[in-house]
Amino acid sequence: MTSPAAALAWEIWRKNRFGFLLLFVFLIVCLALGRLATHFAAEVETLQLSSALPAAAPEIIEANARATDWAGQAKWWSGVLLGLALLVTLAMFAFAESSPLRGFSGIPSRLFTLPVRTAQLVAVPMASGACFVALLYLAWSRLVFAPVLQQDVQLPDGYFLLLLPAALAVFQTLVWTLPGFPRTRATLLILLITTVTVLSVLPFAELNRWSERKAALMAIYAVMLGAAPFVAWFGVTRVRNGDWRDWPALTALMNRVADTFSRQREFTGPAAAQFWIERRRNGRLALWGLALVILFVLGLNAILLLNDGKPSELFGSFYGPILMFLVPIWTPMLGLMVCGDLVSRRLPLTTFQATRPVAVGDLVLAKLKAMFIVWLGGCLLAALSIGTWAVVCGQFDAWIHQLYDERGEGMSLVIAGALSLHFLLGLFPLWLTGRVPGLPWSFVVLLIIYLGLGDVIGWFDRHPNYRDTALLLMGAAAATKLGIALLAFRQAIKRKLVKRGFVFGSVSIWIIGTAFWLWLVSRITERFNWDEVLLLAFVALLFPIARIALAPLALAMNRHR
Amino acid sequence: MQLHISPKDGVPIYRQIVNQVKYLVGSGRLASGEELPPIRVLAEQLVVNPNTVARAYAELEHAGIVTKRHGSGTYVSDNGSPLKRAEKLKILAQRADALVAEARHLEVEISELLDVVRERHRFMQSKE
Amino acid sequence: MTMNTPASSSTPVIGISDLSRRFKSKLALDTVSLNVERGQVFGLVGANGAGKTTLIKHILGLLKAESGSVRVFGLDPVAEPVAVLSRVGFLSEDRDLPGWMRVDELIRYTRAFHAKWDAAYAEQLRQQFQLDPTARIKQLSRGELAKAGLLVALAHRPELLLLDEPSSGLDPVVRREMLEAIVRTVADEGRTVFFSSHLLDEIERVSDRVAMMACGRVVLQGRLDEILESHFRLTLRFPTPPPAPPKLAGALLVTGSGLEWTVLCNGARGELADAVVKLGARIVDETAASLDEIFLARVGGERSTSENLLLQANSTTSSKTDASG
Repeated sequence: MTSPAAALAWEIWRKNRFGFLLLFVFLIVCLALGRLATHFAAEVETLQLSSALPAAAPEIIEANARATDWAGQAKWWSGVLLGLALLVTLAMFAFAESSPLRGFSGIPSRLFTLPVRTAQLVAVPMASGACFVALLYLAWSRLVFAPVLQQDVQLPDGYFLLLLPAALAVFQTLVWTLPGFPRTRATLLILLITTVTVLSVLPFAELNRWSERKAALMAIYAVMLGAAPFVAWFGVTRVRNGDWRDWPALTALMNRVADTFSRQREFTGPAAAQFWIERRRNGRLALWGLALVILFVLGLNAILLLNDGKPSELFGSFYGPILMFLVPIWTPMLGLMVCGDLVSRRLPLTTFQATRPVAVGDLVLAKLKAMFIVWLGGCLLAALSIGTWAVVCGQFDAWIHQLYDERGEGMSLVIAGALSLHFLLGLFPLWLTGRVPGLPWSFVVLLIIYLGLGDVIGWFDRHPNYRDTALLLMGAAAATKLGIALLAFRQAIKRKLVKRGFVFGSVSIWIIGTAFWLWLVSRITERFNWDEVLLLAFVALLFPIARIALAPLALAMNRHR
Repeated sequence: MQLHISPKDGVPIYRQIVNQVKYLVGSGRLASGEELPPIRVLAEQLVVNPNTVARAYAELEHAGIVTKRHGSGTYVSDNGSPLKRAEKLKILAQRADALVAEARHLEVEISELLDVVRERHRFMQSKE
Repeated sequence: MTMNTPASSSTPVIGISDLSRRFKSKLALDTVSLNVERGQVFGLVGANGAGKTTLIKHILGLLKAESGSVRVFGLDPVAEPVAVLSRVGFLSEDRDLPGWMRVDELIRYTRAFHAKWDAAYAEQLRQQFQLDPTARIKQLSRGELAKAGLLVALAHRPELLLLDEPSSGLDPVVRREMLEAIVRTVADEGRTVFFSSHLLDEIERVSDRVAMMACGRVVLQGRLDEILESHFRLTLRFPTPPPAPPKLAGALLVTGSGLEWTVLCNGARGELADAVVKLGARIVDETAASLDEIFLARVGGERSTSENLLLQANSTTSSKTDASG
């Protein structure tokens, strides 16, 4: 290695070998899907052109259906994997490290004591990151999307080639310049990611005066991309010289605010203390982050309201994004936070937690309670904000009506709630073992699993002739789930990890929950002609129990290695 | 009672305590009948294991320098008890062996050595 | 005559028997056996990486015994974590306390887990350690962090106080406070202290029994006073320079050159004297070896075995070239 720049670049590569490998795998998968899609599309064409069959022949219809199916899959998964790839890229080029006591820091301070200029420390990750993300996007755009999206949509390459590097640069700047203010930084990062998501969707949203707005936005991105290195350089210099580590007045103020919520009463017992620590550790940040995102979306909508002035149309643009953020993003992050540290490479139990004189079952119970309470809080917050905005837009009555109307909007909301619970528990037992990496890898795997499952369900939905197979699969899945739960609970009781009360409680909640769902579903199917039997089988899978049963065993595996 | 322990002396800690108590008694800074601090208190003060202090006290008691009164602590014993005199001389003989060997090693004559001993005795007396 | 009369139960507080542990390819513990009786202060000495923290994690049940057994208060810490941990006060090496908590929140939180918590004692300790109750843990200095950890370990008057490198990174003032806490704990009837350190003067001051570890093995174990009394540093004077370093039974470390050689050895004084005479030398100086020197001699022996083999190999090749050349 001949120069500090080369050394830094090598460090980024070495630390993130698996990340690069994962991205490569994503690309291959997308390319494969693309090839399959084009293959099936070509099949339709050859059938239509070469044979003497009429246009409406069953083979052609079938081939058409298959081709559309595959094209849909290819587009959907390519989009999803691109999104995940960008998330992974963010993590890789963040170029930061975490330590157990000081938490997630900025640029590793060991680099500050090396004879390397701050400009180089900033330039290498930023430049390589910008180039990499641009290349990533181009790869997807040219290799993956181009063959699949021929007629449909033209991807605005210029727009994204400015947006994505700018987003990465701003992300890096925030991470590096604010290590002394972790909570502020975390919320700003969440806001950034949400903004970028919204901005990425804009070109496809068919807004009026898009070309003007696009030009303006692209100019903004270019400015940010140009300014970020300088701001980062300035900030990192201050951090390196220790200037921004603590602003005494600001820290004192924030401490005073935090102190008003500090615990003053004694705890009634170990369970209460454990519940408090789980809530306190993550609850505030989670709710604060959610509140900020809601405020942000509200702000955006308020701007649009003032600009274009049509409140009735804006309700959906508030309601939709909030739910989209709440269910697949906020809930699994909350689940991950409660299981361990949000950003550590692994999710071990800290020695302090592991040496509390409490049984594993009580630790798990405290985590579950904390998860649920915070989740409930988040849902209430979202509901409240949606309701308030509905009132502001004058849509309140229409909204309430919509929840009960013919199209089953209310039902989909309830399903969203159930899905959210699933996301909350996510890979709970796996995360509790402490042997899998934290963000973003677990998150990525979870999303892939759930989206894959959604895909499978969608496929069965489109092919009703496979109903019996679907029923069989669901029955088998339900049986496996209950079997795993039974075995896991038995083992946990045998090893004295949990008390019988825990088992009875979980099972009762499952029975009550499933019964409630059955009742709900039976009422809905009458009105909407949905397949009763299928839904009944689905209901047995809806409420989580296997993961709860495995959790004590997993945490014991973490505690006693 | 002010004692000073240095772990790297090469001399075991209990022996340092014993020697220093002996010195204090010998030089009159610990009067006969005066109470020594309880084992636990001295251990905390010197930051050493209580067993070490206990061992030092045991040795001091064995040598007749202190007496343990059941339940009320350890006190410096009165001197001049004829039964213990032989013991005392035996201890001194051991010390004398070391001193004489050292002198021979350093090639100092016995008459010079006796002069040194007398000189130190005079010095101690003048300090009282 | 010991200070603490042994408790009626004869089970050792910590009983480790033939414990081995492997991490991937590295053997972290190699058939370690030791017992800690009630009322003792047990000092575990070893260089960094010798396996001290691994051993302590086994005692706490954070690591399962791969082979051999670990019993604390007669119980298996993996099978019965609550029963064991409620009677143990632990200060970890990295002092991992939650950074976001305040000191008073930490005290309140830890209190909830122990029925025997002595609030008055905790308050007395807090004032003695000069810890501000409203300070956040991540703002505490190293010494204050160690003292906070020690406070919550001591306040419930645990039967076993377990300290992993209590003095690492601390200034002499705080170190002294740590040692005082250790002495105070053991002065209370029936309470035991187990601590690991690589600061040998501390171990020498407060331990009853000592175990020395190197490369995952216990190289020396026993009562501190016996160890100190059975190791000597003898300076031998030869009439003529011996051709090779003198070999003395029980010698751990031999240094010197020419006529005078210093030997750190272990054994009975009388036998050693006889052996010296047999070698044809006489003892010109004799001092008690400090724990430092004993440790270096013992542990240096472990580590330099491989170096010695290398040296031997080199010397045989060089002697071959000498012979041929």
